[in-house]
Amino acid sequence: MGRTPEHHPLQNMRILVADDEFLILVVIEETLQDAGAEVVSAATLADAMEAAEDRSLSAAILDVRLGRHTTEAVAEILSERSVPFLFHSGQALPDSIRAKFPHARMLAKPVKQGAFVTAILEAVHH
Amino acid sequence: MERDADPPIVGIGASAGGVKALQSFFEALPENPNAAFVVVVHLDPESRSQLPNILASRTSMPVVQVEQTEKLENNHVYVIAPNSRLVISDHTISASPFDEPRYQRAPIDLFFRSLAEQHSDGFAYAVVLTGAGSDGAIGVKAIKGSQGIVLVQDPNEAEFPSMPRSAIAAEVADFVLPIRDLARQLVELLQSAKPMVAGVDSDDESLRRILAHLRVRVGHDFSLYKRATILRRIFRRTQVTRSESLAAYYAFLRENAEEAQALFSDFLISVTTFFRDPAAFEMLGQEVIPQLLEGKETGGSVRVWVPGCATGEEVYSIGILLLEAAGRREMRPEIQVFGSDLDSAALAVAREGRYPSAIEADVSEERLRRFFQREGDHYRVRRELRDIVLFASHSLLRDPPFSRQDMISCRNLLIYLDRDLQQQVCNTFHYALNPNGFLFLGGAENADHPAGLFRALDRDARIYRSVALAGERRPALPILLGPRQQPAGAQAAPRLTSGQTTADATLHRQMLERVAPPSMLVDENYSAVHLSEHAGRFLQLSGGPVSTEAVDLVREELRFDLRTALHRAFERGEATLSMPISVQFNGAGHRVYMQVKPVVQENDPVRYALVLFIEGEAVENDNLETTDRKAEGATNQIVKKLQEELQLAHSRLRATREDSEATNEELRAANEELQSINEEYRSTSEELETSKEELQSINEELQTVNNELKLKLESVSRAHSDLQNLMAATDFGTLFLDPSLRIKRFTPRLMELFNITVSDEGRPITDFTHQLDYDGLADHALAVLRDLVPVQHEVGSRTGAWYLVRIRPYRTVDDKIDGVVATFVDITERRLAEEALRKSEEHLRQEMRLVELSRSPIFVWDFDDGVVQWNRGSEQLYGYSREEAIGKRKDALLQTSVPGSSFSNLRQSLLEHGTWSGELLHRAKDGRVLNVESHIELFPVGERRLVLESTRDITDQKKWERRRQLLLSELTHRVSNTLAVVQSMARQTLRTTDSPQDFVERFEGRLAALARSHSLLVEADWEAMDFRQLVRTQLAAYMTDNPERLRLQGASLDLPPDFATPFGLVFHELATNAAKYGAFSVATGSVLLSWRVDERDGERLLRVAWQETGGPPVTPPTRHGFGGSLIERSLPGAIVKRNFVREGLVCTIELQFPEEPESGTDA
Repeated sequence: MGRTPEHHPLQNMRILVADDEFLILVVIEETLQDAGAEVVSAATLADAMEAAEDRSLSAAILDVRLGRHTTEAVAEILSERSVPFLFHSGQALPDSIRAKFPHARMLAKPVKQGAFVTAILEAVHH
Repeated sequence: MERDADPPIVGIGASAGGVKALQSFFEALPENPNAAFVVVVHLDPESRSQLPNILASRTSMPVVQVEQTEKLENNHVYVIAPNSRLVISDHTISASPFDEPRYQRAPIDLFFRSLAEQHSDGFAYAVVLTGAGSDGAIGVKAIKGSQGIVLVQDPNEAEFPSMPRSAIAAEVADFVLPIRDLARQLVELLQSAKPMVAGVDSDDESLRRILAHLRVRVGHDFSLYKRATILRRIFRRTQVTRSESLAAYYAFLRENAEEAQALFSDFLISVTTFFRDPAAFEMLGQEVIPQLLEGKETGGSVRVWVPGCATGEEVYSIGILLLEAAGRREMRPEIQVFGSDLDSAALAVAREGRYPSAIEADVSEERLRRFFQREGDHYRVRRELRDIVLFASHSLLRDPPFSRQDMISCRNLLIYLDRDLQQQVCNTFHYALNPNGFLFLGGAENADHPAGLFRALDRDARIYRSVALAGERRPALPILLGPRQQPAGAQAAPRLTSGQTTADATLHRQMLERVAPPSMLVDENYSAVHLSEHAGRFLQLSGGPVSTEAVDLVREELRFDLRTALHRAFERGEATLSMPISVQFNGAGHRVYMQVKPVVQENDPVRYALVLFIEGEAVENDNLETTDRKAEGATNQIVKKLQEELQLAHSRLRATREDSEATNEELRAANEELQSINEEYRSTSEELETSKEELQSINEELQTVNNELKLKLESVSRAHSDLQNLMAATDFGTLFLDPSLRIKRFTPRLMELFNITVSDEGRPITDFTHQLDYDGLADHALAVLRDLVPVQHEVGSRTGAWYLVRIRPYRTVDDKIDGVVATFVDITERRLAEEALRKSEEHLRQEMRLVELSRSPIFVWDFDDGVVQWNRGSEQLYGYSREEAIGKRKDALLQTSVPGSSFSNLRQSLLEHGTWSGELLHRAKDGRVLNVESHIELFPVGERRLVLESTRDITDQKKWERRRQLLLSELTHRVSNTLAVVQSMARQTLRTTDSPQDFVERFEGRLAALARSHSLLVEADWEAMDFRQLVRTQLAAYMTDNPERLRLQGASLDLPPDFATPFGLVFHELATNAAKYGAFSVATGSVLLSWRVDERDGERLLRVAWQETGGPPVTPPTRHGFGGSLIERSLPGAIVKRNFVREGLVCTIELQFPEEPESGTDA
């Protein structure tokens, strides 16, 4: 299959997707994979933290809530490591997170399919 | 007759209340009252008057409104038109517009004065009816002055008594009667007026008697007053007393003691006004007054005398001119204006110095302002003017005059005197004036006789200057009319005999003089007083001092006989004819006879004797001797003659001796008398000496006393003026009553409450109605008089006002009780304020009660101190009782904190804006922190700054607010999440299905599973739910009658809510797959769903097993489908295993979850 950068804008990217909702996770995974990225999925906070330590991460999409926790800790790790990330949430960002990461982008659920790719690219190239 | 052409005129003046009075008046008149009536009222200048129509209905006489000029006709009524003045002239009456501003108009005075000028014959009648003000008061004086008759309505009957009162106060009213009697009286006067005129002049005898009677009764002789004037005035009285003739009047006069006084007053009537005859006064002010002040440096004095000043207007007028002139020169010589008059009643008016406001017509506004002060309807002369004027009761004719005057103003007095008396008065004036002093007379008078006393300075203004008589420093006091008037009487007699016969008598006297023998008139002192033309021939002056003694004057030869004859004449009243006496005239002897005749006058003792010298034949001495010798026969005759002579000589000698003896006797007696008189004189002289000393000391004393009195008077008048001012200044009514409750004095404000006027002083207060709802005034006043304890009451008035009535005893300075003083203070405002206060207090009390009972916390604290008020709501909210709270500082008590600010900022804001609203945190007694909404207001109360604070507990509200916020946020989250899930589900289902049919079926199934889980979550309030319930709901479609088909095995388990949806989806997928390929696809297949919770390391591990049996043989799926992914990955963190065992699928799920599931909403 001749995948051109045009069709695979996320070629060679390794992207962490954290979401506790399987159905949503699946869709994002497929969307990013279709864009040429390699996806690391996490449905629990523990998985997400572990994945965030991965040295080869290019970017991350974090659901604000994972089960009973928020992904604030994950975002902290990513931020420390200067990995661009964006929040994916059904609600406005909680004040604590907004205060901590004032420049963090956020995608409001539900998201149009292409929007993930565009958002990742913007975050990475910024 | 002239009477018909010129009817008597009745002027009627009325004002307020006049229409009614006029109606009654005209109703009471008969058909033809025989006069022309002129009605003068005060009308509104703007509107038409209906008065003529009203009056026409009450009288049969024609009623005419005078618009321009009307001829006056008998039995007609003339009515003034609005905005005009009426003036009478020459049988017509005419209207003209006013010159004066409206408030100064006095149409009644104007008309009366014009009537008086035109009808000085006594046929003018003035009627003054009800009215306010004083119009008419000056006019009636003019009427009376021109012999008219003045009738005034009884003030007690009049609706407005002020005008009648003013007319009565002018002291000229002839009749004061109620209106109907007034009309009747007028008719009688009109009827009796006619016959008197003719009869009056002739009756000289009656006139003489009347004047004599008057002289006896009042001590004034009017017999030298002008006869016409006197007759007119007596005629007026005859009219008033309704006497038929002078004789009848004389009878009346004798019978009625008061009438003499009345007649006397009438004689003295003089019409005087301020600045009467303005042109003359103008002249006086310009020419004379400055000269009076000329050369009178401060300290010099100007003295002016106004004899016959009547009620003082002329005196004050001159005083005004003097003060004005002095003011212009900025100097102040001592000015003294004397006013004198016979009439003490008039003088009383003059001294009072109070004139009706009608004088506005005569006195300029500027002078009114400077020299008068307004007192209601009157003007009172100001102190400055009053002080330079002095009034005295004095008769110009009888009493010695005032002397050393700079000016005398005597206007319209001389015209009443006859010519002789006028001359005497002129003499008096000349005597009284300083040399070159001024004399100011009335328009019809002059000072030309006696000639040489005065020279005219301005003949039109009748101003004269006294001519200094050469040589004499001061002329002798001229002859005055003695009290008994004898000289005047003596003078009158000869004047009566001289008349037309003067010429004949003179001729006769001359002839007699020429023919009669020479004569000499000798008085009782033997002095020769008069000699006839040729008497000198018989006189011979002897040496020594010149004497007028008759005996010394005559020739020596005659002296003896003359003395004897005179003695006989004066002592015995006998005439004597002497023997012939030989007298040598120039050497030639003549026989002379002397006849001495006493001059006998009717009653008088002999005063004069006439001595006639009768010259006989000449006698030659030689001739005599020769004849004697020659005629011897004549010797006997000679002897006889000698004997006769001797005898005569003897008898003369005897007479002389007798005479001498008598004289000696007399002389002795006289000497004794003189001696005793001398004695008396001496003692008298001593007495006088003593008296003089006494007098001197008394004089000293009197001067001291006088000074003291002057000082006292000054302080009294100061006190009086203080009192006047005080009374004018006090804004409340004050009433002074004497012990019998008669009005002594009151302040003007009292007239608003009581129907009294200034003239009611002296009447009992109980006679008057008032505006107050207060009947106890008299009783209370009497009680105060009895108990001497002040009382006070609050009393309402009919106008709705309230008065504080205080009655206290009146104590004189020597602490005597002399009545009571009542004050009426208007306390309406205070009452209203009290009422309002009471209401607002009531209101406040109610509100306080409301606050007290309110469940809302309301409390008051002092800005600089502790809590002041603490209501029940505060007690309930904060738990502190009232006693605990009061006095504590509010911020300390409630540990107030202000979110986002501080309590001191709050205080600052309160100070700046007065209010503050917002949320506060307060700590209750039990430690709870309360979130309150507080409204705070600062308001100053006197020195203190109080703060009113009301709070509302919003703690619960806040909590719910937060909860709502959370819920909302959770809802948003879930909805968005669910939508995203549905979106993914749709996408994934679409990717893994082959046909739309298949997609719809699968998607709807999954969506339904999702929905079921949601329903359960909602039912469970998004809290933990029963696991079995979840399963039953999701798998309800497979729960059939056959209990073996799906068996559930497991203990009751509370599943955390966040696992509900994934478990729901997982069971749905498992069941759907079983229905398609597994146990549920055949009737014999069955499924066992079992679960178990294991505790491990403090965590709970849920194991769930899905075991299918009896279905078609199982083959593992060829590709990993979406359904499989769903089952394996939907549960985050769970370990899901599927064993495709041939007997049936076995799916196990292991999931760890916290022991105590937290509330879903808190996550």
